[in-house]
Amino acid sequence: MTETNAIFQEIKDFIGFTEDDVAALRTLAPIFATHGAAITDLFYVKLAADPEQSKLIEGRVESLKKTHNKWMSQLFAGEYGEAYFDDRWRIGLTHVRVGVKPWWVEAVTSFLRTEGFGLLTRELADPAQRTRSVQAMIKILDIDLMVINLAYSQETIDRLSQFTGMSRKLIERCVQLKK
Amino acid sequence: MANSSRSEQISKLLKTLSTTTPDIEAAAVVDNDGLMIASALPGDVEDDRVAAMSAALLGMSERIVRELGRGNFALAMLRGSGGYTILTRCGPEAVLTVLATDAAKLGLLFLDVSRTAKDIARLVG
Repeated sequence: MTETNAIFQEIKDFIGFTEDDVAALRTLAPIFATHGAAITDLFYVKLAADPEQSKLIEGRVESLKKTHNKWMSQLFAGEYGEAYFDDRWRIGLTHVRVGVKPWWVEAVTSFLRTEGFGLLTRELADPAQRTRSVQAMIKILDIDLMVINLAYSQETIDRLSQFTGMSRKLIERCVQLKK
Repeated sequence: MANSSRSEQISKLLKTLSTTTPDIEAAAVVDNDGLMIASALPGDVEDDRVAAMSAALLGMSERIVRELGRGNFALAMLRGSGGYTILTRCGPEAVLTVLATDAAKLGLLFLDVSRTAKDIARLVG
């Protein structure tokens, strides 16, 4: 097992992501294929209202929406292997490079939890199926959040290490020393 | 060589450095990750912090020497109103930190520090 696979497996185990979740997420793909774009549009309206984020997305909204829609469709594609992990990891690296603050990923997943819950409440009549689907959706969003934020923090330390000449262990030690 | 034995030998070298060069008040050897290998520092100094700071400062000093095209890194010297702090490499994996009085003769100091750093480098490997 590669290191990235091991990290991903650890995260999935921690969240309790099972084959039942995979199956539940697959059944949601058509719902999000139909309504996902509207959720994305709504999210970008929110981003545009924030002065800091609106500067980051200026002139790129349409291409970013495409990326966002692709990301959302992958959430429900039913494939959660190494390629999925790598893709989420790259998002974290990109966020460091372009200066997207980590709490925005938390904001977008929070937004999707809320909007996704609303969508599934409207679309799924069976209470048991609805509960199962919402649980699976929350798990995959939490997994994405953890991977993206982990990549963000690792990349931040890597860049600091390269710039200062300090080893990763040294940086971690400095952070742990009492103030 | 066992680590304890190596550490003892390095401690001896540090002690010799401070006794043969009166202006040297204290010294320590740390690894690149900021862990103390051997120390002859005053009792009121927090070893963990000094070890991490020494490794951090040396890393940054090497970077700036390279960035500014100053050749191979030799040492970093900080001067405060109470004296000098000198950091130098003792092998690729360790750093020697030396505290000296304000009255220290720098030429002699650099010579002794450099000689001790070479001796320690042989032990650190």
